[in-house]
Parts: sequence; C-alpha cells; structure tokens
Amino acid sequence: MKEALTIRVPMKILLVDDNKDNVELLRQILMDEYTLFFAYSGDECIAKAIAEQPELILLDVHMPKMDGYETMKKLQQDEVTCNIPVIFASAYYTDPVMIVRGLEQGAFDYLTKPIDESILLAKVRTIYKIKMADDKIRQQKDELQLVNDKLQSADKLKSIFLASMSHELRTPLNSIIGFTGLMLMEVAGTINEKQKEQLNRVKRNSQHLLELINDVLDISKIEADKVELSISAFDLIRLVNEIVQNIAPEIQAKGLSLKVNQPEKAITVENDPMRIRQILMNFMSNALKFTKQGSISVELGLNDDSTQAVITIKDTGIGIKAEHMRNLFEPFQQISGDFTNSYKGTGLGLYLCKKLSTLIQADIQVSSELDSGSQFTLILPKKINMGIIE
Amino acid sequence: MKKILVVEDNEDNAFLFHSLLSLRNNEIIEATTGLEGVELAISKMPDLILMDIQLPDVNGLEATRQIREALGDKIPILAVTSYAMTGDREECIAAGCNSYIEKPINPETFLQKVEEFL
Repeated sequence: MKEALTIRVPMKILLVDDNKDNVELLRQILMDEYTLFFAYSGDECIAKAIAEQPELILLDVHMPKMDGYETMKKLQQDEVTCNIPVIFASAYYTDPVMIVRGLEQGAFDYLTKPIDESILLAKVRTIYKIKMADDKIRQQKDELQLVNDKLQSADKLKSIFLASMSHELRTPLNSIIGFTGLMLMEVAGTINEKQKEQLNRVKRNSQHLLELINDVLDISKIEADKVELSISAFDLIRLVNEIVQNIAPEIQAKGLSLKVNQPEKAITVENDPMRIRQILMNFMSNALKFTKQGSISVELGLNDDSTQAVITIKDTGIGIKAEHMRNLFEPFQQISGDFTNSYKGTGLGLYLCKKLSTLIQADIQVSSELDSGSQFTLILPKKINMGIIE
Repeated sequence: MKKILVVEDNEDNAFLFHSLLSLRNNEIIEATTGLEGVELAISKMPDLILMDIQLPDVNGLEATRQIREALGDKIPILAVTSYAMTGDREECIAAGCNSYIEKPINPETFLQKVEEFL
C-alpha cells in the first residue's frame, strides 16, 4: 500500500570530467532514466554537489589542478556531501593499485574507460536500489522515534495526571474521614452500638481508600521522575527498631510472637531513611496481614564483605503460591480467591517497594513456602552511589 | 479563650476544622484565600494560624512568608498539608511554618497538635 504511494523521483547524478566529450558520452547513456548535472573540474564538482545534492557522483580521476582522489576527499569533509556515493571512472589509472586506492578511500565503485554502457547502467541501478532501501530504513527510524517520543510524553502525562488527581481526591476524603471521626467522638450526642459499628465501617473503608490514593500518588511521582531522595548517614539498627516498635502493638494484639535479631554495633548507612522505612513498613505489614499464628522475625546484618546491609523479615504465614511469585511485584497482583476479603490491601505495596528499591539502589529478594511462611529481604549498599542517582 | 485563624478554601473542610476547634472553646476566624489570611492575621492577631497550602490567589506557603515578614515569628503557623513525600513538608517549614498536620486529618491527633501550639 505504502509502496504505491511513494512518488519515485528520478535519481540525480552529477557527471564530472574535464573532457567534454566524455561527459557527453555519459549523458547519452544516462539521460533517459536520470536527472543529470555536469561539472568540468574538481572545484565545480564540489560546488554543484553542495548546490544540487545529487544522489550519485560519477567522478573522473585524472583531472588538472584537483584530481578525483582529492575532490572526493573534499566531498567527504563536508557534512552536506559526505554521504553521496561516488563512482570513479578513469582511462589512465587502470592498474589494481590505483583502483584499490580509490575503493579504500571510500568510492562505491571504480570503472575503467572505455566504459561499457550496460555495466554502467547496472551499477547505477544498484546504487539506486541501495539508496531506496536506505531511505526507507531512515524513514522507518524517524517514524519509530516519533512514536517513541509520543509514548514517553503520554506516559509522563499520565503520571502527572495521577499525581494531581490523587491530590484532588484527598480533599473530599478529608471531610469524610474527619466528620466520621467527629461523630465517633460523640461530641454532638451519643450514638448507639449499631450506628457505631456502621460508622466504623465508613471509617475503615475511607482509610483504605486513602491508602490506595497515597500509593497511587507515590507511584505516579516516581514514574513522573518527581521524587527527590534525601540522603543522610544514619544508624540502620535504630531505624529498624523504630519501625518494629511502631508495629509491635498490632503484632502482639494478634497473638503473634516477635523476634528481632541484630548486631550490637551500629550499622551506619548512607541512603534515604524515609524510603527504607517505607519499604520495610510494607514488608512488616504484609507479614502481619498474612500470618494467623506463629511469629514474625526481623534479622539485620551485613553481607560477607560488609559492603551491603541485609534486612530480612520472615513470617509463618500463609505463604505465596509458586505461580504468584512471578507477578508479585506487578501492580494489583493481590492474592485472589478466598483471601481477598480477609486480607485487604491496595495491591500496590510491593510494586511501590520495587520502584523505591531501584531508586535507592537496593535489591529485594523473596522466598516462600505455601502454608509455612514467606521471607522478604532488602539488600542495600552501605553507601548509595551519588554518581548514578537518576 | 484562644483566637485561631483558619485559612481554608474548601467549605466542608473549614466547617470540619470549625467543629473540632469549637469543642475546646476557641474563637475561630476564617479566611478562604491566602491574601485574606494575611490580612486577618495582621488585623486580628490570632494565637494560632492553621494554613491550608492549596489556596486561590496566593498559596499557603506564600501567605506564610508574607505573615512572617509582617509580624515576625510570634504567631505559630501550622500547615495543613495533603499527604506528601518528604520534600513538600520541608518546603512548609522553609516557608516559616512551625509544623504541619497531615490531611486527611484524624480528629484526635488534629486537636492534640493544636493544643501543643496554643
């Protein structure tokens, strides 16, 4: 289809020879199929090549003042003419040394005179075919580039849109959560148990909606490249203890035991503590969510050569099916089926963790056994490489 | 009785803050734009200002800067910000806010924070 629409403009050829009869001879051979231009010296060749942008130059080698080799060198030095294919033609220089010299200099071909009409036409047609193929590739490359640019800007636009949407969604949510809380405080009058239960459901679901919006905002900020890391040196043990203390009451309330295993000496890390907290909080709340009985344990240490800090959070929960492992870090890949209602989450937590870990140059490893528990490990460099922060 | 200036353009949210703050017997002054907030801060000299960040005309950060410029830092200003990743909070502090309350608010922690600065 597209092929048929392309208008084939006859190829433009520049004929260069100081001998007018030779030029006339070439003209006779080529005039029916091609648009021709003529030059009678090296200087004129360069000027016409720049002005007319021919698609092929037939260049005589033996010319006074500037010979063919020198002319071609000059053509190659100018970016307007450097890509025009050149075919040398010579009656004088016919020995292999000269021919090879011409080809090595970059000529497409080297014809010796007297020129055979059919050979010349065949060579020119070959050049024409190569040129057409070349143009097509270039055109496709441009089209691909254009599509790629469009996709990239659309993707960024999507992220910016999501970020501002999330912000807008939060304003009405403020009223919903706030007034629900206010009613539960019973300051405007007491409410009965049934109403309290109903309001608590409103509260719980608006909290869930809030988490969802927060996760979407975080992800869209990361995808729109709007996240700035704030790097500092801090003690990882202290950070982990803070997180553990935060969640410990909920772990105890569920009747689970909590074990923390960490070295006595501080582990100083240079990274963004907020992001690490976010990732570990996610691991911890997942462990809590999916464990009915048993324990949650946190282990903290360094790798063998002390270049990386390793934090592992292990639970004795429901575990992850092998077929779910592959999509674990994809968005909205929550374990479905019987569990959906009892394990409510946003389905964005691990996806966000993965994004954040890339950002802070850390790695996440998971291992799990169905019905006996899962283990999530965060491995981060002791010192973030400031040179490659995106 | 303490005087609290609430700068908030969303009517429902303003009503929510009003309901909560009046539980503690406070006098509440309300502004719905940044510039109105600056004017009322100067003319009424409240004991505390609650400042929303997204506002028509000048935003909460700019309003805070103008209040600080006119009155120094004797009146505590609490930014009421939407949940944000680190950068935005630091911006509030840099503009001259004493602290911030995260939106959506939790009524109890909201009142606690307000008490802290009265």
